[in-house]
Formats: sequence, structure tokens, C-alpha cells
Amino acid sequence: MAGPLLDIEGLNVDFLTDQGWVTVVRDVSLSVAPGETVGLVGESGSGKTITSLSVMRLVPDPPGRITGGSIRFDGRDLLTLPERAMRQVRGNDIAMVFQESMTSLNPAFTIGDQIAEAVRHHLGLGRRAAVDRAVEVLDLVGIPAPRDRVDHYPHEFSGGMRQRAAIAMALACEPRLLIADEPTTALDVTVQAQVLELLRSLQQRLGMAMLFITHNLGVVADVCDRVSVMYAGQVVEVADVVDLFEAPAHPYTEGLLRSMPQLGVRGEPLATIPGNPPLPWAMPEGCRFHPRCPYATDACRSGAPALTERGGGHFSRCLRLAEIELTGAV
Amino acid sequence: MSDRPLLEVRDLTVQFQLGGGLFAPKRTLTAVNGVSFEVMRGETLAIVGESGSGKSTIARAVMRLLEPAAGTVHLDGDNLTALSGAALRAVRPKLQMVFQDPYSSLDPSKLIADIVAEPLVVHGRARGGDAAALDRTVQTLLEQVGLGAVHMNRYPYEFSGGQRQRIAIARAIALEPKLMVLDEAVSALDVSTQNQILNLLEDLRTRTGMAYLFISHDLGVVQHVADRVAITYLGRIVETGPAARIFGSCAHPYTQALLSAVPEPNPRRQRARRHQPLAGEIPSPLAPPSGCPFHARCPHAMDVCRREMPAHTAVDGGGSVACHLQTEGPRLAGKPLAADTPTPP
Ligand SMILES: Nc1ncnc2c1ncn2[C@@H]1O[C@H](COP(=O)(O)OP(=O)(O)OP(=O)(O)O)[C@@H](O)[C@H]1O
Ligand SMILES: Nc1ncnc2c1ncn2[C@@H]1O[C@H](COP(=O)(O)OP(=O)(O)OP(=O)(O)O)[C@@H](O)[C@H]1O
Ligand code: SF4
Ligand SMILES: [Mg+2]
Ligand SMILES: [Mg+2]
Repeated sequence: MAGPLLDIEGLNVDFLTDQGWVTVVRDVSLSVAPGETVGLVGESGSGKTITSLSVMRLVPDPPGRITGGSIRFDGRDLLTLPERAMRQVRGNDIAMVFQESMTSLNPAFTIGDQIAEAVRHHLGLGRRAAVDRAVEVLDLVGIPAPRDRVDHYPHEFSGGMRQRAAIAMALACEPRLLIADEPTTALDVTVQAQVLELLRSLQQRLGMAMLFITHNLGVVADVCDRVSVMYAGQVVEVADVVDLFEAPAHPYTEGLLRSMPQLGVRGEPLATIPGNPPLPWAMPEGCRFHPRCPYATDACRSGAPALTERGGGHFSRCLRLAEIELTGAV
Repeated sequence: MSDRPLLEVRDLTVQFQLGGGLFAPKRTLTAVNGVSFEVMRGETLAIVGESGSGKSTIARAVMRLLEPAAGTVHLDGDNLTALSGAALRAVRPKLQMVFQDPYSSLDPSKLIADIVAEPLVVHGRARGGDAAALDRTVQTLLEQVGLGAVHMNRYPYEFSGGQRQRIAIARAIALEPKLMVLDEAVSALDVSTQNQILNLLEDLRTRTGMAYLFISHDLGVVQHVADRVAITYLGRIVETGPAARIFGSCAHPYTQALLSAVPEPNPRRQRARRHQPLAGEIPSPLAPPSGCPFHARCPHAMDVCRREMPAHTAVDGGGSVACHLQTEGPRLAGKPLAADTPTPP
């Protein structure tokens, strides 16, 4: 098997807050093979976006700082690359669709100019060809009347249209790795299906790899080969997508699967994981999930579990991994 | 108590002027086209639809954040479209909104405590400037959305998307509104956190009788929370009805396409049933098609669909649908579509 295209190892990211320096991403390891789609799911605030921004070296600094670990892309450590070389990587090799589409788009320029600028820069196309390419990719992501729409400004698009424009811009340069942070959340499910189909076909055609951040477990089930689950700044489970749904190995994942609204009964409260995620400056001792975990014992309150392989590439960060029987989605 | 709707929207049309630069000619985009619906007291009406179909524009027109080209919006008997100045300010507290985007909806330069307290202060509910009492109110509001008092003296940037949305909800419920407009308010959250918020909203609704206009793309969530559902496509409502009828036997082909495109959270089953997404071009509101707005993507389109705009007709089980299949067509006329057609392969 070929080595991973993206290989994050032991990533630590700190932020300066009014509580001093706090670690929001802690010893995160994650890999994506060429052509593979890895899902990144987890609690709101668990560090998914910060992890992906680290790959692009776009963590806002200040107040953020990557304090440890390595991020290898195609063998090169991105964290030690000079900024000039990193600019080449961004857009050319790795493209990102940001969680908030307005972050991807500049409000002062038309949609067409922005995409054209990106492809002129990265593919070295002339002006006319670049605009044609912009129209082509807008059409690909299902923007109606793309010839008209290239001349519009981001605020003239609906949320979902902006999101599609951001996807179009990321795809325009045919990156080898696409990092997509909640790319389909703003789309209706018929358009979502279209976009996911488009990503799949590009993947087949170009061997593009994807790191796919989403809260939608249906989308995870649809597109991901493997999944990493994050909780409180750490990866708590890594598994093949089928294993994750059918035989989860971490109590947080079990709670997540149990919370799928499809399983809810009308008129009754939906299932939740009781309590709140910990604050980065007040991380619990021992297992970070223990205050909310139905299986926690005294040992969990003091001993910090390591990410441990259960077998078959299935990892979990739980002290009681061998003792407890968890239920998946059926 | 009256049986009159809390919110009554009649023939609402909203237009935007585009272009008008040196070379671009001015063009009119009709984002919302003759939309009518109502929300009863304590009811949750969900609006679901294509992206770009005008859902946020409807919400903003209801909130009087933009001026409609035509139509009226009545809240609790007041014609909002006719109010301005002090009269409009007086009804404002009844109507609150939580926006789609948790990143830009909170002022980054303000403390959480001030963000949540702002509506109370602006509307003179801060009890004679008693700072301690105001703090306690803010603390209670934050606790109601699952955030502790420890967050009060922090800034929005210190929170992730999900946490920011809780803050926006705390602020919106501060004035105990009668109608809350929730535009994709829970779509940025992980499912467990989302459920906490949905449970909270449901709890608030039973306690206060507040009604929700709930805009969402997540049909699993809509099925759970909505009493009634309105489906939008290209600036129009194409189907409405009680949630049970919409999810049990929908009547519009677009509704059916939506329901069958929901990915199943089960990898084996989802991959087995994955089918071709809808074909055909998504129409542009800049060049709306003749006839039914859905005809270019509709698997059942007939000649009449390309020529004439279908009128709304009543459906068994409640609500109405704007589709020619209700009155014409060889097999489907008058029958619920879902019961009659197998899901496309
Ligand atoms: N600019 C910042 N300053 C301080 N802390 C920050 C900043 N940006 C993010 N954080 C913190 O880093 C942590 C991780 O945030 P991140 O945005 O990566 O979460 P996430 O998993 O993407 O959440 P969501 O699902 O809500 O998008 C959070 O606790 C957040 O409060
Ligand atoms: N300020 C504006 N100027 C010009 N056009 C606009 C403006 N706001 C919205 N539009 C257009 O109006 C139409 C409806 O947009 P709206 O934001 O209401 O859609 P939506 O249903 O909320 O979509 P989404 O699900 O993507 O949020 C779109 O075609 C959009 O491009
Ligand atoms: S280590 Fe303990 S507390 Fe943590 S997830 Fe496992 S059982 Fe729960
Ligand atoms: Mg995020
Ligand atoms: Mg919208």
C-alpha cells in the first residue's frame, strides 16, 4: 500500500485566551491516503476546524500557535515549509472549503473574478480561459445560469449558493487533497446529493483525497471510507466507516450515534449526551469524557487513556475498551 | 385566546435589483413570489426547500429587515408592513430571529454578557439599571441554553460555532418573544448538541406558548419538530401540510425528491440505495421558466407543466400542493404521489 498523502502526527495547537495559553488540539494524529475520504466528526468545539486549518497553516496567529507535531503532505513537512512554498501548496495541492462560505469568498469581488484569479494563478490560464473555467466549475456545482452568476457579488448569493461557489473555487484547480469543512450543511438534500456525486466522480477521475468534516452522519455514511472522531481536542476513535456505525468502540461515539434525530420519537425529547463539553482551560483529569460517560469508573477519573488499537485499524481512546459492550446503529 | 393565526403572510413578493454597474444592465430578481402562509400560536411551521428558493428572504421580510415589493405580514393582528418608527419598535420584542451564520451574528467586540443583555437594555427591561439583577437574568438565560455563568465575561471568538449559536439563542429568548424565526439555527451543531437545543426549544415552546418559524435543510430534524411543513422552490411554496401527511404521503414531486435524497445514517444501506441525483438544470430566479418552476427537474413533467403554472389545490390529509398531477396526467391524477410511485431507481 502506498504511504499516506496527508499524515498528521502528534499535532498540538494552543490559543492565548484570557485564561492564558490553552491547548485546544492535543496530540492529534490522522492520515489520509491518496484517493481516500476520511471523515472528521465530533462535538462542536472539539477542534475539527482548528486541525484542518493547521494543515493549511491558516490557524490565526495570534492568538493561535501550532506548538508540536508534524504535518506531512506527500512526504514534506508542511510545518517547516517556507511561506512561499506553502502558498504553492495551498490551492495547487490542497484546497479548502471553509465552514463559513463567506470566509472563502471576498465580498469586494465578483464570484467569477475570484475563481478566475485562483485558476490564473495556479493553472496559468489567460483571462478569457480563466473566466470560462469559472463558468464551467459553477455549472458543475449546480449554480443556475452560471454565465450570469459569474458577475455577481457574494452577498447576492444565498447561503447555499455561496457554499457551492466556494466548492467550485476549491475544485477549480483540481487539488490532490480537498479539505471540506461542513461543505453541504447549507444545501438542500437534492443539491447535496449532486455535490457529493460530483466529488465522488472527481475522486475517481483525479484520485483526489478528501478530509471531510461534517456533523451529518448520513453524509458520513455516504462518502467516507474511514472516520476519525474528536472529543475535547483529542481523537477518541478511528475506524473504518462500517465498523464505526456497527461496532463503535468509544462511549462518545455511541452517544453520538444514539442522538441521530431519525431515531427520535415525536413528542419525546431527543437523545443527547448529558452535560456539556469541557472548556479548554478546565480539561478533566484522566479521560476527558469521564464526567459525561455512562461507563466511567474511578480508574477513568485518574488514568488518561491512550489511543489503542482494538484490531483491524480500529482505534479507541477508552480505558474500558476491552470490558464494555457498546451498541452501534442498526 | 383567538383562533386567528399569530403570523399571517399574504401574497408576499420580494425583489432585488442586481447589477446596474457601468456595463451590467440592471435586472430584477424575484426571490419570493406571491407566498402565503400562517403560523398559529405555539405552532412550529418548518420551511424546507431548495437552496436559493427564498427561505431566508421570507424570514427577513417577516422580520421587517427588508421591504417587500408586495403583500402583507400580520403579527398578532398588527400589519407589520404598515408599521414604522415607534409603533414598529413596540412590536419588535414579539419577534426574534436566530440567523443561519453563527460567525457574523454576534458582535465580536462585545462580551457575551452584553450581547445577551442587549435586547433587555434596548427595550427597557433591565429593571431600572439594577446591574446585579441584569447579571442574574443573563446568567439564567445562558444556563437555559447549556452555557455556564463562567462564559459571561468572554468574547465570541473564544467559542466554536456551536457554542456561539447557543449564545444567539439565549439573546433571542431574552424578551420572551411570541414568534421566533430560526434560520438554520441548529445546522452548525453536532447531533447531540443539536438535540439539546431542539429539546430546549421544545421545552420553551410548551412553557411559553412561543411559536417557531423553523427553516432547515435537515428533514430528520423537521420531521421531529414541525407541526406543519411548507416546501419552497424557486420563490414559491409548492406544497404545505401537516408534518405527518408530508412525511407519510407527500404530493409534490420535489417533496418526494427531497425525501428520497436524505442520506441514511447507515453505510451499508446508504451505499446500496444511493441513486442518481435529480437531473436537469436548477432554474434561475433571474430567468424563471414558464409553467411549473420544477418542470425541468421533474421526472413526471407533462406538456401542461411547461406551459402553465399549477394552482394550489387541497390535498387529502391536509394542506395543499401546486402540481398539475393533481388534476391531469394518466396515473397520478388526484392520488397521493408517494403512494403511487416507487422511488426512482
Ligand atoms: N481564535 C480563537 N481564540 C481562542 N480560542 C479559539 C479560537 N478559535 C477556536 N478556539 C477554540 O478552539 C476550540 C476548537 O475550535 P474548533 O473551531 O476547531 O471546533 P470545531 O470542532 O470545528 O467545532 P464546530 O463543530 O462547532 O465547528 C474551541 O474550544 C474554540 O473555543
Ligand atoms: N441581498 C441580495 N441581493 C441580491 N440577491 C439576493 C440578495 N439576497 C438574496 N438574494 C437572492 O434571492 C434568492 C433567494 O435567496 P435566499 O437567501 O432567500 O435563499 P434561501 O432559500 O435562504 O437559500 P439557502 O438555503 O441557500 O440559505 C437567491 O437567488 C439569492 O441569490
Ligand atoms: S475511559 Fe472511561 S470515561 Fe472515558 S470513555 Fe472510556 S469508560 Fe468512559
Ligand atoms: Mg468547525
Ligand atoms: Mg438561507
